[in-house]
Amino acid sequence: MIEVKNLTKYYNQVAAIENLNFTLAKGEIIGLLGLNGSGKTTTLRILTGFLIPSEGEILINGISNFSDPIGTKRLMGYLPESPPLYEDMKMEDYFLHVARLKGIPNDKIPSEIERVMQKTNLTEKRKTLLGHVSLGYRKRAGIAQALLGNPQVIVMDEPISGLDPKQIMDMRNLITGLKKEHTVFISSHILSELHKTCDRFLFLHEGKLRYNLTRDALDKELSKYSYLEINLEGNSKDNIISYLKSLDQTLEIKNAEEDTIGITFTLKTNNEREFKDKLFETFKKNNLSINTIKRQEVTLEQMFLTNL
Amino acid sequence: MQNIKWIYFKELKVFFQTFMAPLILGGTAFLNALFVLISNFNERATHEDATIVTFISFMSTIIVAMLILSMGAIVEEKTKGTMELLYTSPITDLEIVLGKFLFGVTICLVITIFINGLFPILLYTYWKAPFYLVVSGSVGVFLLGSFTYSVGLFGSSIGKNQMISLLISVLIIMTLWVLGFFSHLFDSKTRAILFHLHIFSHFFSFSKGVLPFNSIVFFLSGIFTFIFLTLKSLESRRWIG
Repeated sequence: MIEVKNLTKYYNQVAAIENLNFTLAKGEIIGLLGLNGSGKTTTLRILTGFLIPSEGEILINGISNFSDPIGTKRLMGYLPESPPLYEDMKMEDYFLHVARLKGIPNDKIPSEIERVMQKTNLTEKRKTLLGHVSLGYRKRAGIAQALLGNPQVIVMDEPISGLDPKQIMDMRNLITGLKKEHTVFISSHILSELHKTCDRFLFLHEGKLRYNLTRDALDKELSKYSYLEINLEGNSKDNIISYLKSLDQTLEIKNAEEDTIGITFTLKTNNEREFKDKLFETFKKNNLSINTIKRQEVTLEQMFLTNL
Repeated sequence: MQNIKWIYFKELKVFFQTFMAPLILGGTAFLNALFVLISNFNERATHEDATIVTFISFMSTIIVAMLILSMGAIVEEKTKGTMELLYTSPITDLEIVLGKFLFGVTICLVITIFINGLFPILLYTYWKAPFYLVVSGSVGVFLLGSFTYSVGLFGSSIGKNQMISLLISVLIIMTLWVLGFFSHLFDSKTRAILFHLHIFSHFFSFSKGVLPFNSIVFFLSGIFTFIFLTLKSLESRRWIG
Protein backbone atom coordinates (compact mmCIF):
# COMPACT_ATOMS: atom_id res chain seq x y z
CA MET A 1 0.00 0.00 0.00
CA ILE A 2 2.79 2.45 0.96
CA GLU A 3 6.29 2.11 -0.39
CA VAL A 4 9.09 4.26 0.97
CA LYS A 5 12.16 4.38 -1.27
CA ASN A 6 15.57 5.81 -0.37
CA LEU A 7 14.02 8.50 1.79
CA THR A 8 16.54 11.12 2.92
CA LYS A 9 16.05 14.50 4.54
CA TYR A 10 18.74 17.04 5.33
CA TYR A 11 18.34 19.98 7.71
CA ASN A 12 21.15 22.43 6.99
CA GLN A 13 23.25 19.65 5.43
CA VAL A 14 22.76 17.42 8.48
CA ALA A 15 20.89 14.23 7.61
CA ALA A 16 17.83 13.76 9.83
CA ILE A 17 16.98 10.51 8.04
CA GLU A 18 19.07 8.61 5.54
CA ASN A 19 18.10 6.09 2.87
CA LEU A 20 14.98 4.72 4.51
CA ASN A 21 13.35 1.85 2.67
CA PHE A 22 10.24 0.06 3.91
CA THR A 23 6.69 -0.84 2.95
CA LEU A 24 3.41 -0.68 4.84
CA ALA A 25 0.78 -3.29 3.99
CA LYS A 26 -2.96 -2.73 4.13
CA GLY A 27 -4.54 -3.32 7.56
CA GLU A 28 -1.24 -3.47 9.45
CA ILE A 29 -0.37 -1.53 12.60
CA ILE A 30 3.26 -0.56 12.27
CA GLY A 31 5.32 0.99 15.03
CA LEU A 32 8.12 3.39 14.30
CA LEU A 33 10.47 3.23 17.25
CA GLY A 34 13.50 5.21 18.20
CA LEU A 35 15.04 7.56 20.69
CA ASN A 36 14.31 11.28 20.63
CA GLY A 37 15.97 12.85 17.59
CA SER A 38 16.20 9.58 15.70
CA GLY A 39 14.15 10.93 12.79
CA LYS A 40 10.68 9.55 13.56
CA THR A 41 8.78 12.83 13.26
CA THR A 42 10.66 13.78 10.09
CA THR A 43 9.70 10.44 8.53
CA LEU A 44 6.04 10.89 9.43
CA ARG A 45 6.02 14.49 8.25
CA ILE A 46 7.37 13.49 4.86
CA LEU A 47 4.90 10.63 4.64
CA THR A 48 1.98 12.99 5.29
CA GLY A 49 3.20 15.69 2.90
CA PHE A 50 4.12 18.24 5.56
CA LEU A 51 7.75 18.15 4.44
CA ILE A 52 9.38 17.51 1.09
CA PRO A 53 12.25 14.98 1.17
CA SER A 54 15.75 15.90 0.01
CA GLU A 55 15.98 12.57 -1.80
CA GLY A 56 13.80 9.54 -2.39
CA GLU A 57 10.07 9.14 -2.76
CA ILE A 58 6.94 7.72 -1.18
CA LEU A 59 4.43 5.81 -3.27
CA ILE A 60 0.91 5.47 -1.93
CA ASN A 61 -1.10 2.94 -3.93
CA GLY A 62 1.55 3.41 -6.62
CA ILE A 63 1.16 7.21 -6.73
CA SER A 64 4.01 9.46 -5.62
CA ASN A 65 3.00 11.89 -2.86
CA PHE A 66 5.27 14.45 -4.48
CA SER A 67 3.63 14.34 -7.93
CA ASP A 68 0.04 14.17 -6.59
CA PRO A 69 0.14 15.71 -3.10
CA ILE A 70 -3.58 16.50 -2.93
CA GLY A 71 -4.69 13.03 -4.07
CA THR A 72 -2.39 11.20 -1.67
CA LYS A 73 -3.32 13.46 1.26
CA ARG A 74 -6.93 12.41 0.81
CA LEU A 75 -5.86 8.85 1.67
CA MET A 76 -4.30 9.89 4.95
CA GLY A 77 -5.25 11.10 8.41
CA TYR A 78 -2.51 12.55 10.59
CA LEU A 79 -2.25 13.12 14.31
CA PRO A 80 0.89 15.17 15.05
CA GLU A 81 2.57 14.91 18.46
CA SER A 82 0.81 18.08 19.54
CA PRO A 83 -2.81 17.74 18.33
CA PRO A 84 -3.54 20.47 15.75
CA LEU A 85 -6.50 22.09 17.47
CA TYR A 86 -7.96 25.59 17.23
CA GLU A 87 -8.43 26.36 20.90
CA ASP A 88 -10.99 29.10 20.24
CA MET A 89 -13.32 26.68 18.47
CA LYS A 90 -15.91 24.31 19.89
CA MET A 91 -15.19 20.63 19.34
CA GLU A 92 -17.93 20.09 16.72
CA ASP A 93 -17.15 23.34 14.89
CA TYR A 94 -13.55 22.20 14.65
CA PHE A 95 -14.55 18.84 13.19
CA LEU A 96 -16.84 20.63 10.74
CA HIS A 97 -13.90 22.78 9.59
CA VAL A 98 -11.56 19.78 9.20
CA ALA A 99 -14.25 17.76 7.39
CA ARG A 100 -14.71 20.60 4.92
CA LEU A 101 -10.96 20.89 4.35
CA LYS A 102 -10.80 17.17 3.69
CA GLY A 103 -13.38 17.58 0.96
CA ILE A 104 -16.10 15.46 2.58
CA PRO A 105 -19.43 16.20 0.80
CA ASN A 106 -21.63 18.57 2.82
CA ASP A 107 -24.52 16.12 3.21
CA LYS A 108 -22.23 13.47 4.71
CA ILE A 109 -20.43 15.75 7.16
CA PRO A 110 -22.89 15.53 10.13
CA SER A 111 -22.97 11.71 10.11
CA GLU A 112 -19.20 11.56 9.66
CA ILE A 113 -18.63 13.88 12.62
CA GLU A 114 -21.03 11.78 14.70
CA ARG A 115 -19.19 8.59 13.72
CA VAL A 116 -15.72 9.83 14.73
CA MET A 117 -17.01 11.42 17.92
CA GLN A 118 -18.60 8.15 18.97
CA LYS A 119 -15.52 6.17 18.05
CA THR A 120 -13.34 8.42 20.21
CA ASN A 121 -15.92 8.92 23.00
CA LEU A 122 -16.14 12.66 22.50
CA THR A 123 -19.89 13.12 22.10
CA GLU A 124 -20.33 14.65 25.55
CA LYS A 125 -17.69 17.31 24.76
CA ARG A 126 -19.14 18.42 21.43
CA LYS A 127 -20.03 21.92 22.68
CA THR A 128 -16.84 22.40 24.69
CA LEU A 129 -14.14 24.82 23.59
CA LEU A 130 -11.01 22.91 22.60
CA GLY A 131 -8.91 25.19 24.78
CA HIS A 132 -10.83 23.96 27.83
CA VAL A 133 -10.32 20.18 27.53
CA SER A 134 -7.63 17.98 29.10
CA LEU A 135 -4.69 16.45 27.25
CA GLY A 136 -6.46 13.08 26.97
CA TYR A 137 -9.42 14.71 25.23
CA ARG A 138 -7.09 16.78 23.07
CA LYS A 139 -5.35 13.63 21.87
CA ARG A 140 -8.71 12.00 21.21
CA ALA A 141 -9.89 15.06 19.30
CA GLY A 142 -6.65 14.83 17.31
CA ILE A 143 -7.37 11.20 16.45
CA ALA A 144 -10.99 12.02 15.62
CA GLN A 145 -9.92 14.67 13.10
CA ALA A 146 -7.47 12.17 11.58
CA LEU A 147 -10.32 9.64 11.22
CA LEU A 148 -12.64 12.09 9.44
CA GLY A 149 -13.30 10.93 5.91
CA ASN A 150 -12.32 7.36 6.84
CA PRO A 151 -8.83 7.57 5.28
CA GLN A 152 -7.02 4.35 4.38
CA VAL A 153 -3.92 5.29 6.35
CA ILE A 154 -3.77 6.79 9.84
CA VAL A 155 -0.44 8.26 10.90
CA MET A 156 0.13 9.12 14.57
CA ASP A 157 3.14 10.79 16.09
CA GLU A 158 3.63 9.86 19.77
CA PRO A 159 -0.11 9.36 20.45
CA ILE A 160 0.47 8.15 24.01
CA SER A 161 3.02 10.65 25.24
CA GLY A 162 1.82 12.65 28.23
CA LEU A 163 -1.22 10.45 28.93
CA ASP A 164 -2.06 8.87 32.30
CA PRO A 165 -2.30 5.04 32.62
CA LYS A 166 -6.07 4.94 32.06
CA GLN A 167 -5.83 7.20 29.05
CA ILE A 168 -2.98 5.03 27.70
CA MET A 169 -5.21 1.95 28.02
CA ASP A 170 -8.09 3.74 26.24
CA MET A 171 -5.74 4.92 23.53
CA ARG A 172 -4.35 1.41 23.07
CA ASN A 173 -7.87 0.00 22.66
CA LEU A 174 -8.72 2.78 20.23
CA ILE A 175 -5.64 2.13 18.10
CA THR A 176 -6.21 -1.64 18.11
CA GLY A 177 -9.80 -0.99 17.02
CA LEU A 178 -8.55 0.91 13.97
CA LYS A 179 -6.69 -2.11 12.66
CA LYS A 180 -9.69 -3.65 10.91
CA GLU A 181 -10.35 -0.68 8.67
CA HIS A 182 -7.08 1.24 8.39
CA THR A 183 -3.36 0.90 7.99
CA VAL A 184 -1.95 2.52 11.12
CA PHE A 185 1.57 3.93 11.38
CA ILE A 186 2.53 5.02 14.89
CA SER A 187 5.72 6.51 16.21
CA SER A 188 6.76 6.42 19.82
CA HIS A 189 9.78 6.41 22.04
CA ILE A 190 7.83 4.43 24.67
CA LEU A 191 8.88 1.17 23.11
CA SER A 192 7.06 -1.17 25.48
CA GLU A 193 3.73 0.51 24.69
CA LEU A 194 4.00 -0.14 20.98
CA HIS A 195 4.96 -3.76 21.68
CA LYS A 196 1.40 -4.34 22.89
CA THR A 197 -0.23 -2.65 19.91
CA CYS A 198 1.72 -3.20 16.69
CA ASP A 199 2.09 -6.01 14.18
CA ARG A 200 5.42 -4.84 12.86
CA PHE A 201 8.23 -2.67 14.18
CA LEU A 202 10.67 -0.34 12.48
CA PHE A 203 13.61 0.75 14.61
CA LEU A 204 15.22 4.05 13.71
CA HIS A 205 18.50 5.20 15.14
CA GLU A 206 20.35 8.35 14.09
CA GLY A 207 18.20 8.58 10.99
CA LYS A 208 18.88 5.05 9.81
CA LEU A 209 16.56 2.06 9.80
CA ARG A 210 18.22 -0.51 12.07
CA TYR A 211 15.53 -3.22 12.24
CA ASN A 212 12.33 -4.08 10.44
CA LEU A 213 10.75 -6.91 12.46
CA THR A 214 7.36 -8.60 12.60
CA ARG A 215 5.89 -9.17 16.06
CA ASP A 216 6.92 -12.89 15.97
CA ALA A 217 10.45 -12.03 14.90
CA LEU A 218 10.65 -9.41 17.62
CA ASP A 219 9.37 -11.83 20.27
CA LYS A 220 11.97 -14.38 19.15
CA GLU A 221 14.61 -11.68 19.39
CA LEU A 222 13.39 -10.69 22.84
CA SER A 223 13.43 -14.29 24.08
CA LYS A 224 17.17 -14.37 23.38
CA TYR A 225 17.56 -11.77 26.08
CA SER A 226 15.03 -13.08 28.61
CA TYR A 227 15.95 -14.94 31.81
CA LEU A 228 14.12 -17.24 34.23
CA GLU A 229 13.99 -16.30 37.87
CA ILE A 230 13.48 -19.29 40.22
CA ASN A 231 13.28 -19.28 44.00
CA LEU A 232 14.21 -22.67 45.51
CA GLU A 233 14.77 -24.15 48.96
CA GLY A 234 15.65 -27.48 50.58
CA ASN A 235 19.39 -27.79 50.07
CA SER A 236 22.61 -25.76 50.00
CA LYS A 237 23.27 -23.19 47.32
CA ASP A 238 26.15 -25.21 45.79
CA ASN A 239 24.12 -28.42 45.63
CA ILE A 240 21.22 -26.67 43.94
CA ILE A 241 23.63 -25.10 41.45
CA SER A 242 25.00 -28.53 40.60
CA TYR A 243 21.46 -29.89 40.12
CA LEU A 244 20.63 -26.99 37.82
CA LYS A 245 23.85 -27.40 35.86
CA SER A 246 23.08 -31.08 35.38
CA LEU A 247 20.02 -30.12 33.31
CA ASP A 248 20.82 -30.08 29.58
CA GLN A 249 18.60 -27.02 29.04
CA THR A 250 20.54 -24.78 31.42
CA LEU A 251 22.75 -22.48 29.40
CA GLU A 252 23.95 -20.06 32.01
CA ILE A 253 23.37 -19.31 35.69
CA LYS A 254 23.59 -15.57 35.85
CA ASN A 255 22.97 -14.96 39.53
CA ALA A 256 22.26 -16.79 42.78
CA GLU A 257 21.11 -14.87 45.81
CA GLU A 258 20.00 -16.13 49.21
CA ASP A 259 17.03 -14.42 50.81
CA THR A 260 14.59 -15.12 53.66
CA ILE A 261 12.42 -17.52 51.64
CA GLY A 262 15.10 -19.46 49.77
CA ILE A 263 17.65 -18.95 47.05
CA THR A 264 16.81 -16.96 43.95
CA PHE A 265 18.55 -18.06 40.75
CA THR A 266 18.54 -16.07 37.54
CA LEU A 267 19.32 -18.33 34.62
CA LYS A 268 19.09 -18.67 30.90
CA THR A 269 17.81 -21.75 29.12
CA ASN A 270 17.79 -22.93 25.54
CA ASN A 271 14.29 -24.43 25.86
CA GLU A 272 12.08 -23.03 28.55
CA ARG A 273 9.30 -25.64 28.48
CA GLU A 274 11.64 -28.67 28.59
CA PHE A 275 13.69 -26.98 31.27
CA LYS A 276 10.64 -26.53 33.49
CA ASP A 277 9.57 -30.19 33.06
CA LYS A 278 13.04 -31.47 33.94
CA LEU A 279 13.31 -29.04 36.81
CA PHE A 280 10.12 -30.29 38.46
CA GLU A 281 11.22 -33.93 37.94
CA THR A 282 14.72 -33.46 39.37
CA PHE A 283 13.60 -31.40 42.32
CA LYS A 284 10.83 -33.82 43.27
CA LYS A 285 13.38 -36.64 43.35
CA ASN A 286 15.71 -34.62 45.58
CA ASN A 287 13.01 -33.31 47.92
CA LEU A 288 13.55 -29.70 46.96
CA SER A 289 10.74 -27.22 46.70
CA ILE A 290 10.15 -24.45 44.21
CA ASN A 291 8.68 -21.30 45.71
CA THR A 292 8.38 -19.17 42.60
CA ILE A 293 9.28 -19.41 38.96
CA LYS A 294 8.85 -16.52 36.58
CA ARG A 295 10.24 -15.19 33.36
CA GLN A 296 12.23 -12.00 33.68
CA GLU A 297 11.20 -10.20 30.51
CA VAL A 298 13.60 -7.97 28.68
CA THR A 299 11.86 -4.80 27.61
CA LEU A 300 12.10 -3.41 24.13
CA GLU A 301 14.06 -0.55 25.61
CA GLN A 302 16.70 -2.90 27.02
CA MET A 303 16.94 -4.83 23.78
CA PHE A 304 17.09 -1.67 21.72
CA LEU A 305 19.73 -0.01 23.85
CA THR A 306 21.82 -3.22 24.02
CA ASN A 307 21.88 -3.42 20.25
CA LEU A 308 22.66 0.19 19.41
CA MET B 1 -12.05 27.45 -4.60
CA GLN B 2 -14.16 25.63 -1.98
CA ASN B 3 -11.16 25.40 0.35
CA ILE B 4 -10.58 29.17 0.16
CA LYS B 5 -14.16 29.56 1.34
CA TRP B 6 -13.70 27.16 4.27
CA ILE B 7 -10.50 28.87 5.43
CA TYR B 8 -12.26 32.23 5.08
CA PHE B 9 -15.34 31.09 7.05
CA LYS B 10 -13.20 29.66 9.82
CA GLU B 11 -11.22 32.91 10.15
CA LEU B 12 -14.42 34.96 10.27
CA LYS B 13 -15.99 32.67 12.84
CA VAL B 14 -12.99 32.75 15.15
CA PHE B 15 -12.70 36.54 14.73
CA PHE B 16 -16.28 37.24 15.74
CA GLN B 17 -16.32 34.61 18.51
CA THR B 18 -13.23 35.90 20.28
CA PHE B 19 -11.93 39.16 21.73
CA MET B 20 -10.42 40.05 18.34
CA ALA B 21 -13.64 41.57 16.96
CA PRO B 22 -14.20 44.08 19.80
CA LEU B 23 -10.47 44.78 19.97
CA ILE B 24 -10.04 45.55 16.27
CA LEU B 25 -13.42 47.08 15.48
CA GLY B 26 -13.93 48.85 18.80
CA GLY B 27 -10.31 49.98 18.97
CA THR B 28 -10.47 51.45 15.48
CA ALA B 29 -13.74 53.26 16.26
CA PHE B 30 -12.27 54.65 19.48
CA LEU B 31 -9.06 55.90 17.85
CA ASN B 32 -11.01 57.39 14.96
CA ALA B 33 -13.25 59.22 17.38
CA LEU B 34 -10.26 60.50 19.26
CA PHE B 35 -8.35 61.75 16.21
CA VAL B 36 -11.17 62.91 13.96
CA LEU B 37 -13.62 64.52 16.32
CA ILE B 38 -11.09 66.29 18.53
CA SER B 39 -9.13 67.60 15.51
CA ASN B 40 -12.16 68.64 13.47
CA PHE B 41 -14.72 70.10 15.81
CA ASN B 42 -13.63 73.69 15.80
CA GLU B 43 -15.19 76.69 14.15
CA ARG B 44 -12.35 77.37 11.73
CA ALA B 45 -12.31 73.94 10.03
CA THR B 46 -13.42 74.00 6.42
CA HIS B 47 -14.61 70.90 4.64
CA GLU B 48 -11.20 70.58 2.91
CA ASP B 49 -9.33 70.67 6.23
CA ALA B 50 -11.82 68.32 7.86
CA THR B 51 -11.63 65.81 5.00
CA ILE B 52 -7.85 65.70 4.99
CA VAL B 53 -7.63 65.40 8.78
CA THR B 54 -10.27 62.67 8.76
CA PHE B 55 -8.62 60.53 6.11
CA ILE B 56 -5.12 60.98 7.50
CA SER B 57 -6.51 59.75 10.80
CA PHE B 58 -8.08 56.80 9.00
CA MET B 59 -4.75 56.08 7.34
CA SER B 60 -3.12 55.64 10.75
CA THR B 61 -5.93 53.62 12.29
CA ILE B 62 -6.40 51.26 9.34
CA ILE B 63 -2.66 50.53 9.28
CA VAL B 64 -2.62 49.78 13.02
CA ALA B 65 -5.80 47.67 12.80
CA MET B 66 -4.61 45.62 9.83
CA LEU B 67 -1.15 45.06 11.29
CA ILE B 68 -2.64 43.79 14.55
CA LEU B 69 -5.14 41.63 12.68
CA SER B 70 -2.53 40.06 10.43
CA MET B 71 0.35 39.59 12.85
CA GLY B 72 -0.86 36.18 14.04
CA ALA B 73 -2.52 35.04 10.81
CA ILE B 74 0.12 32.47 9.88
CA VAL B 75 2.63 32.48 12.74
CA GLU B 76 -0.12 31.44 15.19
CA GLU B 77 -0.89 28.42 13.02
CA LYS B 78 2.79 27.50 13.27
CA THR B 79 3.17 28.01 17.01
CA LYS B 80 -0.09 26.23 17.88
CA GLY B 81 0.67 23.32 15.54
CA THR B 82 -2.40 23.82 13.34
CA MET B 83 -0.14 24.47 10.36
CA GLU B 84 0.44 20.71 10.38
CA LEU B 85 -3.30 20.26 9.88
CA LEU B 86 -3.35 22.70 6.96
CA TYR B 87 -0.18 21.35 5.37
CA THR B 88 -1.36 17.74 5.59
CA SER B 89 -4.94 18.42 4.43
CA PRO B 90 -5.78 18.13 0.74
CA ILE B 91 -5.54 21.88 0.13
CA THR B 92 -2.92 24.02 -1.58
CA ASP B 93 -0.76 26.75 -0.04
CA LEU B 94 -2.40 29.27 -2.37
CA GLU B 95 -5.83 28.38 -0.98
CA ILE B 96 -4.55 28.89 2.57
CA VAL B 97 -3.10 32.32 1.74
CA LEU B 98 -6.09 33.49 -0.30
CA GLY B 99 -8.59 32.36 2.35
CA LYS B 100 -6.73 34.33 4.97
CA PHE B 101 -6.26 37.34 2.71
CA LEU B 102 -9.96 37.50 1.82
CA PHE B 103 -10.76 37.46 5.52
CA GLY B 104 -8.45 40.48 6.02
CA VAL B 105 -10.05 42.27 3.08
CA THR B 106 -13.52 41.60 4.53
CA ILE B 107 -12.58 43.09 7.90
CA CYS B 108 -11.00 46.03 6.10
CA LEU B 109 -14.27 46.52 4.23
CA VAL B 110 -16.25 46.25 7.48
CA ILE B 111 -14.03 48.92 9.04
CA THR B 112 -14.25 51.17 5.96
CA ILE B 113 -18.02 50.98 5.71
CA PHE B 114 -19.33 50.44 9.24
CA ILE B 115 -16.62 51.88 11.49
CA ASN B 116 -15.09 54.68 9.43
CA GLY B 117 -18.37 55.19 7.58
CA LEU B 118 -19.81 57.24 10.39
CA PHE B 119 -17.21 59.95 9.93
CA PRO B 120 -17.59 60.49 6.16
CA ILE B 121 -21.31 60.85 6.85
CA LEU B 122 -20.44 63.63 9.26
CA LEU B 123 -18.12 65.15 6.66
CA TYR B 124 -20.93 65.04 4.14
CA THR B 125 -23.69 66.37 6.38
CA TYR B 126 -21.92 68.64 8.90
CA TRP B 127 -19.04 70.10 6.89
CA LYS B 128 -20.88 69.80 3.54
CA ALA B 129 -17.94 68.05 1.92
CA PRO B 130 -18.65 66.94 -1.66
CA PHE B 131 -19.79 63.32 -1.89
CA TYR B 132 -17.03 62.30 -4.36
CA LEU B 133 -14.45 63.34 -1.75
CA VAL B 134 -16.02 61.08 0.82
CA VAL B 135 -16.14 58.12 -1.60
CA SER B 136 -12.60 58.49 -2.96
CA GLY B 137 -11.18 58.81 0.56
CA SER B 138 -12.97 55.62 1.61
CA VAL B 139 -11.66 53.75 -1.47
CA GLY B 140 -8.15 54.89 -0.46
CA VAL B 141 -8.63 53.62 3.10
CA PHE B 142 -9.85 50.26 1.81
CA LEU B 143 -6.93 49.84 -0.62
CA LEU B 144 -4.39 50.90 1.97
CA GLY B 145 -5.93 48.52 4.53
CA SER B 146 -5.87 45.58 2.12
CA PHE B 147 -2.29 46.38 1.16
CA THR B 148 -1.26 46.57 4.82
CA TYR B 149 -2.94 43.23 5.52
CA SER B 150 -0.98 41.58 2.69
CA VAL B 151 2.25 43.00 4.15
CA GLY B 152 1.19 41.70 7.59
CA LEU B 153 0.45 38.28 6.12
CA PHE B 154 3.96 38.15 4.69
CA GLY B 155 5.46 39.29 8.00
CA SER B 156 3.45 36.59 9.76
CA SER B 157 4.70 33.92 7.36
CA ILE B 158 8.36 34.60 8.08
CA GLY B 159 8.27 35.63 11.76
CA LYS B 160 8.97 33.22 14.61
CA ASN B 161 6.27 34.70 16.81
CA GLN B 162 3.60 37.40 16.69
CA MET B 163 5.85 40.17 17.97
CA ILE B 164 8.59 39.51 15.42
CA SER B 165 5.97 39.24 12.68
CA LEU B 166 4.55 42.61 13.71
CA LEU B 167 8.01 44.18 13.74
CA ILE B 168 8.75 42.87 10.24
CA SER B 169 5.47 44.27 8.92
CA VAL B 170 5.94 47.61 10.68
CA LEU B 171 9.45 47.82 9.24
CA ILE B 172 8.15 47.27 5.70
CA ILE B 173 5.32 49.81 6.09
CA MET B 174 7.60 52.37 7.76
CA THR B 175 10.20 51.92 5.02
CA LEU B 176 7.59 52.54 2.32
CA TRP B 177 6.31 55.53 4.30
CA VAL B 178 9.67 57.12 4.99
CA LEU B 179 11.25 56.48 1.55
CA GLY B 180 9.34 59.32 -0.05
CA PHE B 181 10.44 61.85 2.56
CA PHE B 182 14.09 61.30 1.68
CA SER B 183 13.59 61.06 -2.07
CA HIS B 184 14.79 64.64 -2.57
CA LEU B 185 18.29 63.55 -1.50
CA PHE B 186 18.68 61.38 -4.62
CA ASP B 187 19.00 61.99 -8.36
CA SER B 188 15.87 62.39 -10.43
CA LYS B 189 15.51 58.74 -11.54
CA THR B 190 15.99 57.34 -8.04
CA ARG B 191 13.77 60.09 -6.68
CA ALA B 192 10.98 59.08 -9.05
CA ILE B 193 11.23 55.42 -7.99
CA LEU B 194 11.39 56.24 -4.28
CA PHE B 195 8.49 58.63 -4.58
CA HIS B 196 6.45 56.00 -6.39
CA LEU B 197 6.98 53.65 -3.44
CA HIS B 198 5.80 56.31 -0.98
CA ILE B 199 2.46 55.01 0.35
CA PHE B 200 1.62 58.32 2.01
CA SER B 201 1.61 60.23 -1.28
CA HIS B 202 -0.47 57.50 -2.96
CA PHE B 203 -3.04 57.64 -0.18
CA PHE B 204 -3.04 61.43 -0.06
CA SER B 205 -4.44 61.65 -3.59
CA PHE B 206 -7.49 59.66 -2.57
CA SER B 207 -8.23 61.98 0.35
CA LYS B 208 -8.21 64.93 -2.06
CA GLY B 209 -11.06 63.48 -4.08
CA VAL B 210 -9.05 61.83 -6.86
CA LEU B 211 -8.97 58.17 -7.87
CA PRO B 212 -5.44 58.12 -9.35
CA PHE B 213 -4.83 55.19 -11.66
CA ASN B 214 -1.16 54.81 -10.76
CA SER B 215 -1.99 54.71 -7.04
CA ILE B 216 -4.63 52.03 -7.58
CA VAL B 217 -2.05 50.05 -9.59
CA PHE B 218 0.51 50.64 -6.81
CA PHE B 219 -1.72 49.21 -4.10
CA LEU B 220 -2.97 46.28 -6.21
CA SER B 221 0.50 45.33 -7.42
CA GLY B 222 1.76 45.64 -3.83
CA ILE B 223 -0.98 43.26 -2.69
CA PHE B 224 -0.07 40.73 -5.39
CA THR B 225 3.64 41.00 -4.57
CA PHE B 226 3.19 40.35 -0.85
CA ILE B 227 0.72 37.52 -1.43
CA PHE B 228 3.22 35.95 -3.80
CA LEU B 229 6.02 36.37 -1.23
CA THR B 230 3.80 34.84 1.48
CA LEU B 231 3.11 31.89 -0.78
CA LYS B 232 6.81 31.38 -1.48
CA SER B 233 7.56 31.63 2.22
CA LEU B 234 5.03 28.87 2.98
CA GLU B 235 6.37 26.68 0.18
CA SER B 236 9.94 27.10 1.39
CA ARG B 237 8.92 25.80 4.85
CA ARG B 238 8.17 22.42 3.33
CA TRP B 239 11.71 22.23 1.97
CA ILE B 240 13.55 23.74 4.94
CA GLY B 241 11.45 22.04 7.64
